[in-house]
Amino acid sequence: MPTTTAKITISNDIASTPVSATKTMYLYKEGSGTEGVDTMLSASKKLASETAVDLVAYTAAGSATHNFLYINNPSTNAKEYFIISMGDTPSSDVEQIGRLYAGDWMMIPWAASSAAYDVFIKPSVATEMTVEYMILS
Amino acid sequence: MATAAITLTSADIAGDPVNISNTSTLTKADSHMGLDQTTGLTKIIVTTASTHVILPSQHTLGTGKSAKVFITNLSANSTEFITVTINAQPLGKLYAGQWAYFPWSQLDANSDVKIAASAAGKSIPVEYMLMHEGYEFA
Repeated sequence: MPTTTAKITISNDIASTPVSATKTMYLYKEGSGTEGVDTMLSASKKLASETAVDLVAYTAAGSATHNFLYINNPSTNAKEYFIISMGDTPSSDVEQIGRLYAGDWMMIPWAASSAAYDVFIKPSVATEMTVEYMILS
Repeated sequence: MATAAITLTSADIAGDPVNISNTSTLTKADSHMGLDQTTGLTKIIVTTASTHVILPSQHTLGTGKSAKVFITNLSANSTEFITVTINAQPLGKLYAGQWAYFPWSQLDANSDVKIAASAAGKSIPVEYMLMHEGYEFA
């Protein structure tokens, strides 16, 4: 049974008293405290349009309804960001999660139980941008 | 400046070990300037299965700007989870010991970040932190 961990370390020196948070999680399957995720999809894509595209369809996680999604914007250009949304179609019925700016990454639990959980991505510029992502199920 | 680092490791999920390390510097939108406001780390106990707003959207000040959310479920009971939702869109479940970190657009007045316990009658400890730019956040 695979063992997969994800550790986050936040160093927050914004306030006068710094706050740090460090947390390591085990990536378990739904409702299990012992059975680790055992499938992985890792990809890198290049996008050259400002049009929103379905980056990850809910079917990418198979039938699992508890998954982990990691997305990274490796750009170093501050003007290059991705708008990350979740929902059924990019033109409507989607909820914008946030903007993934250059150098930013995100990691979320991902229910992926229906098309309402498709993940859309919209580049800020039409020049080529690269996105990296990973699904662990 | 504030930073967020992830180390994703597995020795056996694939034929070869997986080891990803990535550190981001938390900057303002379209800028190399660091974020300058934060809620600090907040701890609450979630006891109901109905959604509870932990971060109210400040869309008039936050839209188009940079904000990062960290949430973790501190429960030690592997059956206890919290559902993380933005507006009416659930993202997924955080089981005991698990965390999430994501950017937050605050696109409109309804873009609150919400959580709900897996069932009523639970006492699930949750910590969260927001790092952002803008001027006033409730």
